[in-house]
Amino acid sequence: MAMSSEVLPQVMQFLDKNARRISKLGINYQQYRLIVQTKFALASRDHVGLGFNTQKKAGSGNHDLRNSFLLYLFFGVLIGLFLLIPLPHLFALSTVFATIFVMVFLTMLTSYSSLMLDPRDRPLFVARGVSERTLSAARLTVVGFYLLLNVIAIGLPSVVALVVHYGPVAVIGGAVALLLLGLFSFMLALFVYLLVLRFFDGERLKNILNMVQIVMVVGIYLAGQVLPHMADALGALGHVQAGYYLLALPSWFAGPVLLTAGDFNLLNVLLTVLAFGVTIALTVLFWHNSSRFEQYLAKLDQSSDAPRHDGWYVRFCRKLFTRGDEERGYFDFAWRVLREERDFKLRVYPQLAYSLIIPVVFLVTMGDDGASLHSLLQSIGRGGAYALLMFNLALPVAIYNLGFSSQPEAMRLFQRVPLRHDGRFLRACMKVLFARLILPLCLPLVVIFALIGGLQTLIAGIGVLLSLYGITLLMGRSMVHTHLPFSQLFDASNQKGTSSMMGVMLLIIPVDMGLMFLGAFLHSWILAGIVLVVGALMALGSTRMFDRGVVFNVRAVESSEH
Amino acid sequence: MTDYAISLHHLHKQFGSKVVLDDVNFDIAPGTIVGYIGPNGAGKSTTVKIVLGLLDADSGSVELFGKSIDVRTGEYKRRIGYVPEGADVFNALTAREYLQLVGQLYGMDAELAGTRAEKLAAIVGLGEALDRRLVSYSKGMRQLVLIIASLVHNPDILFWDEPLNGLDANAVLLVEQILRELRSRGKTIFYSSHIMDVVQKLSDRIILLNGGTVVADGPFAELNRDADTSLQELFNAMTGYSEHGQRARAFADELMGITADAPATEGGDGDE
Repeated sequence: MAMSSEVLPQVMQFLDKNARRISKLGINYQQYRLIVQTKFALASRDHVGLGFNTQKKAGSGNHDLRNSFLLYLFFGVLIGLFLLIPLPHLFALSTVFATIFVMVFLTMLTSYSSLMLDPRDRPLFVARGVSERTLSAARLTVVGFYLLLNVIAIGLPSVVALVVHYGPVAVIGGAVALLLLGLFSFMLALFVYLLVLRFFDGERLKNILNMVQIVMVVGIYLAGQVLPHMADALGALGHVQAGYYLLALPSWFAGPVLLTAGDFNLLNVLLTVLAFGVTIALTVLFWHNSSRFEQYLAKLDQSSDAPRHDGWYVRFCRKLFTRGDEERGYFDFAWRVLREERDFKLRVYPQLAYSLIIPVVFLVTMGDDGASLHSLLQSIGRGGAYALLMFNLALPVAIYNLGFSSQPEAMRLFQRVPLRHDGRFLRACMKVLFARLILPLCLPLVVIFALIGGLQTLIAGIGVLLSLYGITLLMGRSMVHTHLPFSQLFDASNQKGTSSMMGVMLLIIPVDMGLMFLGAFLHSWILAGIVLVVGALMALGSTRMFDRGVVFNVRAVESSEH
Repeated sequence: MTDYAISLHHLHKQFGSKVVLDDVNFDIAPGTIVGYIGPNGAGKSTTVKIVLGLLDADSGSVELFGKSIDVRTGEYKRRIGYVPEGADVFNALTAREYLQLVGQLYGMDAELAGTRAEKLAAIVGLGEALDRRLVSYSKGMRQLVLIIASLVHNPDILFWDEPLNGLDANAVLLVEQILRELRSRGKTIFYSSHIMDVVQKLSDRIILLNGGTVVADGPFAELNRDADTSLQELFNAMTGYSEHGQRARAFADELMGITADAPATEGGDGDE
């Protein structure tokens, strides 16, 4: 086949050697081989590495794979270093396997979902005589291959590191456990797809996958920030009750390692039995249900027929933020687009979580007595309101990503139906950003902090909230120039405008940190009052900035088919 | 006994409580162009998907050339060519690669599939673009690729759903003539479209599906008792749709701001 130069020849040779075994599973080998070749070529052209879409260069094909492998290997080394720390064995292994599991599972649900859940497959292949079993097997082979490389890259350094505290024989147990963990993650992800598609439609599945992606990325951020502050707690965790390990899925894979290291006890045997037993059971179960999986995939392109109504929150925000029919119309439009843009959420929400973590860490460490509840309450009472300023750290990323959407060509509507007031449209978009991203998190926090800190904190909190509103509008006005919101296709390799975004972020961090500390140490009625007045002035003043000077270049709308 | 190219016997399918196909029966002789028409949701796509094994019928049977189709093996699909409506293709493949892939899926030798795809593409004017990726193709070019993909393995039966979508007038003429040529050489064609003029022009037989039931079946000349009635008008009459004039007037009235009592005004709405 003409695309054979992009297909991995070693993999195809391996499959050819096992053609007879594959055929015995009820798979048409010729068709299977053809589909595997095609999918590898497509993955190569779509620059799917091991979970990262890399730079689009002509002929870069397998370099994407190599580069991704090396990047994951680097992460693997960092994870493996953890095993060199002298910690209780079961705890250390559980932590490492949990980290590997999260990374592999996340990759499976995010980067490889498009390979597993391609709705074009059935009309193309099944309609032309390929059985569902053959199609499923081909897809599993391609995804399995990428996942295997992924697992090896992330896990191999940890397996090698086992020799230091566990002995050379444990390396064999580690390798087996690693491969088993990879298979387990794979099967679990497939079951997630199967279950969701069984009961819901494709739209719901995509939303759930999106949410899982965001939660996991946020979790990784949280772990990166919170864990270093929990050194004492980490030591204490080494004495966790044995039963907890039986419930923690990734801990099962510590069993084989410990058994091969000579640590023979009932817990380790049980963990090993669970690791092998559950993985094999999942694999067999999925294999028996694989044809049903193919049929459920037909629901991928479906979405619910149920009419959608605006919830109370959007009605409330619409009343609060908009004046006049025109602005209301722009507000509703921007709200509905952002509600559906999954990639926007994926790129922005983790940054939002980060802007929440920093004030939490600040408040936890600011107290007089170190990291204790009393200290935390004290910090909140004094500086909680000012810490909320850090939410504007998420704004540059959110405003930058406002320019992109999955269907930019739909914005050509504004070439035919002209925007009567570009400035009002931009202002409405900024208000939506504030209402969707900042307000739902900040407002409850202001209330909670006020309950702890009293009226002073409430006044300061409202002032900060108003300031954040004003800053949102201000940043939007200064960062967005001629590009119409939602009118470009996101291209990770071509990030014009990121330098100004980074510049704004680098400016925000020291300013916000300074204001945060200043506010906390000078907190008083006068300061709270000043913050309230300044916030109100910023909120009022910034709305006027959109009356003139905003002109979008509607001719520059991109297409998702380029 | 005549081996019909395709026979449907008491085909029934429902999704939940909604009956999509209700006791559908027909036999089609080889060398026939069948205009398979009906309003949206009538069951046309469901019929095709059942024949292609993409859906299972709740009851009833499908036969091709006298033999029941065996969905498990899928071998019978080699005798079918399919152009779905609004199909997605793999944009990262070139047209040649896509057509070669399809040919091979139908059991053709790779080289033969490639050579035939090249020749067919050259005939319809895609020769020079054959090695370009499908992402760069216009809508009409993609449609031609889909048409070639349905024919590259020389099937006996064609299921074409809105095959003329995106084609320019010259391409439309060419494709229509190709269909007539194939019909005269014994191919059986199921042609589904909402463009009644073309269906009327091409079809030897019309099967009109409405609400999952066949409401009309036969040559247009037989179905149409009045020589002046078009297929469009027959379709409207048989599907019980006769209020289009009334609705069009209501539409224009709404646009012009005319109520039942107010007189019509000239000019459009401007900014007030």
